[in-house]
Amino acid sequence: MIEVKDINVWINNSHILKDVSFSIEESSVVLLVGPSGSGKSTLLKTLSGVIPSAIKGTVKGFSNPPLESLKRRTMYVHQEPWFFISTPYVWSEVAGYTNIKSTNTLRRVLEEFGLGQHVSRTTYTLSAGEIQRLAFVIAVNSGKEIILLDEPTSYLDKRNSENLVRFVGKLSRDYGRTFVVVDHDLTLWSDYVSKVLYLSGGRLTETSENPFKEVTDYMNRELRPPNSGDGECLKIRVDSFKFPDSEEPLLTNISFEVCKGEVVVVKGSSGSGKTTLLKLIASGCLRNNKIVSSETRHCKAVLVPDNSLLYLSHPTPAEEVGVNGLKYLEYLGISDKAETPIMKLSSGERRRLAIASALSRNYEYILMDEPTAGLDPLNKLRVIEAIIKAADMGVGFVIASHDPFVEMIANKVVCIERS
Amino acid sequence: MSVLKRITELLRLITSLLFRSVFIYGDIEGRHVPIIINLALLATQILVARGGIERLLVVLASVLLTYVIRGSSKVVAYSSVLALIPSTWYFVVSLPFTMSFLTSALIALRVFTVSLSFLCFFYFLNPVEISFVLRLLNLGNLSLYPVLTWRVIPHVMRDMETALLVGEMKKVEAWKSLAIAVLTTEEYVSLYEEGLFSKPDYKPSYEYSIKHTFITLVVLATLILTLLLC
Repeated sequence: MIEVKDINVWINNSHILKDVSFSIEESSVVLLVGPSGSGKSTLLKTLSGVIPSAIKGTVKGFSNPPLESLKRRTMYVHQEPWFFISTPYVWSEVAGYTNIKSTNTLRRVLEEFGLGQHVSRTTYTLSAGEIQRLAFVIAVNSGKEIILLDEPTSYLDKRNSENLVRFVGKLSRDYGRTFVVVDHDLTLWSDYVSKVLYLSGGRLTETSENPFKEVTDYMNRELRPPNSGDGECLKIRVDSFKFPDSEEPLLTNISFEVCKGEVVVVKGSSGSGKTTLLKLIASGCLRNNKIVSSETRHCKAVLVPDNSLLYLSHPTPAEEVGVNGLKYLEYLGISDKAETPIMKLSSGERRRLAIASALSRNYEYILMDEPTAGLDPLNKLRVIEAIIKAADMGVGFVIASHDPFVEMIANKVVCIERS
Repeated sequence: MSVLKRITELLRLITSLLFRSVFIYGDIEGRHVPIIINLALLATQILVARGGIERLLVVLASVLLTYVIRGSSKVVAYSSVLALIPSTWYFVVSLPFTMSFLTSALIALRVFTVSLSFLCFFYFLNPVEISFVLRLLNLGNLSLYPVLTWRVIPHVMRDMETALLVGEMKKVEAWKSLAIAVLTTEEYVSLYEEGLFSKPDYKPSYEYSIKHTFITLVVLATLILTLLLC
């Protein structure tokens, strides 16, 4: 049994966790939910010793076993999984951090998570979903007893998410491993969790109810695609595209149209080439190449990448969106952060800021990569409603997403699969 | 095309070429040759390249052969374009001094050959081997750094490429996109520190390729013979 009592955490003089107390049975799965910015990641980082060792901060409170010994038994997998991977090849990552040394075992373990064919591949060419699965493989084979997973399914499609959740349940039940998981999807985990903890404003409560039920019910009931476009469309056509390091083309025979005022959702398993497709469309718009064609011979478009920091180009949200865009900060629930330096925003806040900026700049088409990844249902709803509003005003969207709520607002769904 | 667009395009091209010349292709068998032999090959190539045109051509052939036999012929095109950048520069700046097209062309060819040799060396350098050797030398606490460097550089370069693409679409000056990319890099340092904090010590394992080591030794021996005989 792990018992934590009255834990308080301060970072940069900001009181993040307030008198947090809870207990966790060994060999159980505990789900930690709460709105963005409520301190969920901070709690995991405190339990694993990242705070105060790697992040400066003050931790006060009691824990049995003490936090110092807990951190030696704990493996924390970062919310942005690429920061968990430290070697250039998939095999070197697994062989270097686990006891799996034989190529056959390594391949078999990776196979369970659909990574068997990527043993020799470079880790920097893996998709976000593939990196997320690789991080999970290393965490569960590292020999640590307590695994802390920060949004482990945010970049995974439904099939891979369910596979991961099933595996967590199996490891907990059959091998006595303890998991604390931050995720927003309670339904996904419901068969395996023994306890749900709800964190809001730094305070923790145990709950048996789904705290997001109202919002998710609303989304299930109300979300509809926008009224379809006004006729002016972009034609997208990729006959074949392959990376220089690959023998097989990643994308073949892809052809679809996106019209102004329409939402086109691109879905497919992780690693199927969704992000690559968005980047190809983006380059096509810039250079008028044959991938993109339109009746007006131009396309004013922008790409909002999954790492939203790469979209931002101004020091504060207010400067990023300009005077006309302040209303979008309000729509997306970040108007109180208008003057906060972007480097101090959380990843969810940056994501919403990048979307607000793209919406405020009068683009005809916006290409978005996983715009709702890692957002709690309330903020997800804000983003989706903002997209519908913009589409109603004539903006065309191409969105790569695994999120079923995003799919609900699609006028068209383009499915791509590997090969 | 505006100056801004040209600069952004050039930066993206160089980033992409560097990425494709050094970091692609995953872990192929050709990258499992002992670093000491690769280093000896590079040193010999530089020494032989100090001679006349015939010796330069022998070095160039050895570099191209290395790429082809060790299974990376596709990289030659990207590396050659990248090596052309300094060689063109040397050709242009040397011309007013040499006043001879041929002499400047020879200088450019030498720069091209040596640049290509370095790119070839870096391409076949296996960071896992360096980590492995460090661990064998009881320097295990340093063994993470070579692999981490090889992981982080392309990660940052890819992000820089994306930031420049988005910046171009937003019509933002290239320096602003790069400033963000630099800020991102700074943030990456602390994010990697957080991400890797609870991972156990890195214990590299590594196997050498007898076939490719033998091939490289044959190329090396040929170059040494050239050095001694010509």
